[in-house]
Amino acid sequence: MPANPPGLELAYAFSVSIFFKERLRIDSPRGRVFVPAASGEVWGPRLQGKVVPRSGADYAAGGQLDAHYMLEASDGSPIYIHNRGYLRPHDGVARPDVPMTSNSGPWLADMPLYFRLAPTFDAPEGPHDWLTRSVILGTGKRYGNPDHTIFTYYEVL
Amino acid sequence: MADDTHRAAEPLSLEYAFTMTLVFGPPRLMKTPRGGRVFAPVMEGQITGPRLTGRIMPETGADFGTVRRDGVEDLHARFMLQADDGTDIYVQHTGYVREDGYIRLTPFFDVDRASPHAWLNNTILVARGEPSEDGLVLTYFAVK
Repeated sequence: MPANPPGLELAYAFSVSIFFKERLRIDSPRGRVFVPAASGEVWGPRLQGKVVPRSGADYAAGGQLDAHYMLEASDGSPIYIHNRGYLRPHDGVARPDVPMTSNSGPWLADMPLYFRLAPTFDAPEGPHDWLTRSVILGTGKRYGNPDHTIFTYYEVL
Repeated sequence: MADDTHRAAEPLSLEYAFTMTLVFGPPRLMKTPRGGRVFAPVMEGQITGPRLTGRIMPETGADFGTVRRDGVEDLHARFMLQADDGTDIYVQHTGYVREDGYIRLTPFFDVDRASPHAWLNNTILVARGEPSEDGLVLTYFAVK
């Protein structure tokens, strides 16, 4: 192995809140879920704006997040996000048997999770097109009352 | 709405996992309605590091990337690995190859869930690429 592998730097870019009102599980061989985004906000040094209400959902299957939403930057630019990643209990932590339904309250809130994302974006050519040519990594945190997730995104420099 | 205590950025850190060398065969480029379709076969390669040692199974895959109108390549490389203990590992990568030399990828793995490498199934990693004489050297980091 190389004595001194090259390092990699991350720079905090922005955060996204997404609020949820329902969850639907399809009892299929792939274990598909449908979790639409009701609304949300975008803030941070590199992007500000909002989640376009009812513009998409997580269609996770096979234990992998597969969420597609539209964001709108504060200058009006439409931005597409494809949020791929994993949400699981941290190693050694048992996952509680919380049914993923609309009545399950703060689903997986307040427990240690490995909730990590490698999203891809599409954005118009212009001030936001860096999102289409830099790898972005993220971490998610679950909250209840109201039911929402906050995603924190970093640019891989 | 989120209260102010939610507004501090959650930290994220990386941990060096392994290094992969890739040897490419002669590339092909097709001009298609979706851009320039790249086919760059991965001939062979080696993997060394604290989290994985092994090799790329020869001639099991390629980069099937797309060169966009802005000159950036949307990389899409998939191939098979074999760990030193004999475990088969499927990997697919997406990422960017930029004209300024930036090469960054995110891999997604499929591994036998009973194997010692099952952590690859549900861990996000990122790789930085450096060109070599006959291919690429990729340095992988696990997102902690």
